[in-house]
Amino acid sequence: MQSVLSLFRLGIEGLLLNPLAYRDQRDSPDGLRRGFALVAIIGLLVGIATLIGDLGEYMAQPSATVVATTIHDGLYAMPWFAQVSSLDAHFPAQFDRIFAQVTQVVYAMNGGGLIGSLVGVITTPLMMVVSWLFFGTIAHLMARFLGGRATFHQTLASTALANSVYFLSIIQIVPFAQVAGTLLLGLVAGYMAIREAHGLPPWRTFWATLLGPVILALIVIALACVVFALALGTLNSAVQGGIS
Amino acid sequence: MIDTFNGALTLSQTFFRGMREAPDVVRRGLTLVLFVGLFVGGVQAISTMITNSSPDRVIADIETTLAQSIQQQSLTATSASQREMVQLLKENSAGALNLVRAVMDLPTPLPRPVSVILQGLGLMASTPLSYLGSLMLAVVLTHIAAQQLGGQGTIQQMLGMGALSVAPHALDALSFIPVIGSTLSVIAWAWGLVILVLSTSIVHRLDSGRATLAVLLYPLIGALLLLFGCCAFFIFAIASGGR
Repeated sequence: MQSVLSLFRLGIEGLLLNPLAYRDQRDSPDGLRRGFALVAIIGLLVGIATLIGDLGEYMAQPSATVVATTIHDGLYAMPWFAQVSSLDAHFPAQFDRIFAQVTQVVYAMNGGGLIGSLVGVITTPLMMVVSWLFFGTIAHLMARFLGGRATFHQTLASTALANSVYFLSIIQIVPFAQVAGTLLLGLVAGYMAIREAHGLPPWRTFWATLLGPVILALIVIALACVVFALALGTLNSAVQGGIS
Repeated sequence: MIDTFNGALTLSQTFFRGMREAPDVVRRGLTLVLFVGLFVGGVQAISTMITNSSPDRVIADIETTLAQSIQQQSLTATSASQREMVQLLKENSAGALNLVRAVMDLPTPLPRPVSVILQGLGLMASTPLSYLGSLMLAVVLTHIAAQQLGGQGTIQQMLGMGALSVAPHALDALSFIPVIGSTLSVIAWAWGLVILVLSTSIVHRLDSGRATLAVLLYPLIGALLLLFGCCAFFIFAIASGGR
């Protein structure tokens, strides 16, 4: 219990960008172990908080299927639908096909609902540990290339503390709460971690910090483009199938 | 907290210098953001809860907005196709309102008042983070520009003191009042900008001209790029349409 409390205090100091906490983490012989525990605990807490928040949202909203059915029936009942249907007898069937595709895309974008949140309790800490290791490794290589002095162990120990900004994501325990600002605050904390670990001047620290997230952002953008193209292709084929 | 709030609003240079040297500058700045955010979020949540507690009032608001929009479009419609579109909107507006009413009347597992309270709590909890998100963008861009202009401050000092620019946004709590609310929000934004310039000047030991440039440099570059992008898009669209 004592060690969990000390981890929590360490995380708060990391969130508040206290340079002493980052230096202590760099110099501590068990910095890496403590850092790993901190990242995993924050990830687990965020995952559980998101699950509780999503459960609250689920209880406070009508079922997505019922909403979709109501919208579908409401659109059917509007005058434009009768007008278009009288001009084209195939229109209702085409409309149903397109509506089903759009609904599927919306469900997919919602992230799988409660099951997605339940899976998130496991995947959130895993993803946080993986992204910490990825960021720490790239930042370490770049910092050493730019003249940094810290060991890999010290870099990882310090960058683990930068993940404490994700304490803010625990706000998702409140249903309908939205998280903002953690990405940039995380980058600033990462900058602090690299600066305190490697003792680099500001601009070198800046570039060492930025390279990892830029690579990650490019990968995410490429993946998003692929997913978007696939979704667009599916929708397009549905529309064309409906028209023909 | 009240001293920090007052010092920020009165632009007291002694207070700003004292805060720059404080070891807990980030803690004080972020605490201010938290309190202003919770205050504004709390007032906005209560306002939203009162509005959302009655579905009829929400429907009436949508109906008024829709009617005004159709009226405006019918006044500006010049071609036959535009007039046809306005007619289509008029014919279907009642059906659209029925659809909104049907969705709002759908049963939820929790009673409706509990859902409304949860939505209000969500808004209240999100507001401090929403301010933090905007603040982080402003602080990071200003810090980079200030360093390029010869500034000497640290990112912790810039974040902690930049957070003072959130103080005037306590006025956003009154944004639910028609007409006056939006005017107060503009005043809060301008006041916050002045605080950010003063903070940059003191943190980075820059003169006021350079500090203003540091604050405005990247937003201006962004706006110019957006403008050029839009122009290029329109020229491309016109050229493609001409073929």
